[in-house]
Amino acid sequence: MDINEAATALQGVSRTQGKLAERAKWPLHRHAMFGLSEGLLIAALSQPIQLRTAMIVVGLALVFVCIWDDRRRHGMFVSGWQKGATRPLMIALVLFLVTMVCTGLYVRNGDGMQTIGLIIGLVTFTVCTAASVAWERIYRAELLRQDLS
Amino acid sequence: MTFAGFDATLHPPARLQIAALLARVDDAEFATIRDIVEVSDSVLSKHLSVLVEAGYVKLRKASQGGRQRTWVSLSRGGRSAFTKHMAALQAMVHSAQAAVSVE
Repeated sequence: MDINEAATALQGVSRTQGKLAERAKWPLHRHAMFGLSEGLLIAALSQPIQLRTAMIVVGLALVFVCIWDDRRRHGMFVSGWQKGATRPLMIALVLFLVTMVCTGLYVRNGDGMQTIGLIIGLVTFTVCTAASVAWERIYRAELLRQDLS
Repeated sequence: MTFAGFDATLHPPARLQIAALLARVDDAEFATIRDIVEVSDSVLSKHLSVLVEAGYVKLRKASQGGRQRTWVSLSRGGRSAFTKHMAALQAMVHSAQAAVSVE
């Protein structure tokens, strides 16, 4: 293999990643659906058992809907756990979610636990939706940065 | 000059592009890969067969919308081989550039 072949091969990879970046666009409702699933799961921690069960079932169902819809709409699935520039955001999001779980568990025995739990869920929904939008931007920017064509 | 990590299986352009696509997704449907790599169904099938034989990709059949579809993902070995092959290509280009700048 000579230098020209190697350079052409790298350009081919860049072009492929550029085409992937064009497709890797998710609608706002998809980001909100992810945020809602996380928000419901966190808010559920501080709710009475019946409501908690219902919220967990709906939250988990939304996760499956996200995956199913991605595969149907794009013909591919991209989870958040990609190597590269998105990894720091995912680690920050996991730390945030762990904090929210701990907060939810801490407040669930106090007065007005349901309302506080719902507020925690709302905060989780907002942060996760925003993080999902930011994740897409970082992912696409990284793919396009590597597109040298 | 030889470069460590160079992989003859991944060397053909279409195969390298298939691996490059799969390296950035969890899995992709056959038609999606075909459209992005811009090859025919038969060419893609042949390249995927070689990659499966090498243990670099995994195929999964799943029904969607009443039709059987093939989903493709990169195996752990395939991901490692792709990373090493890319590093070898980059090393090759960088060493050539360095040689030119010295001259």
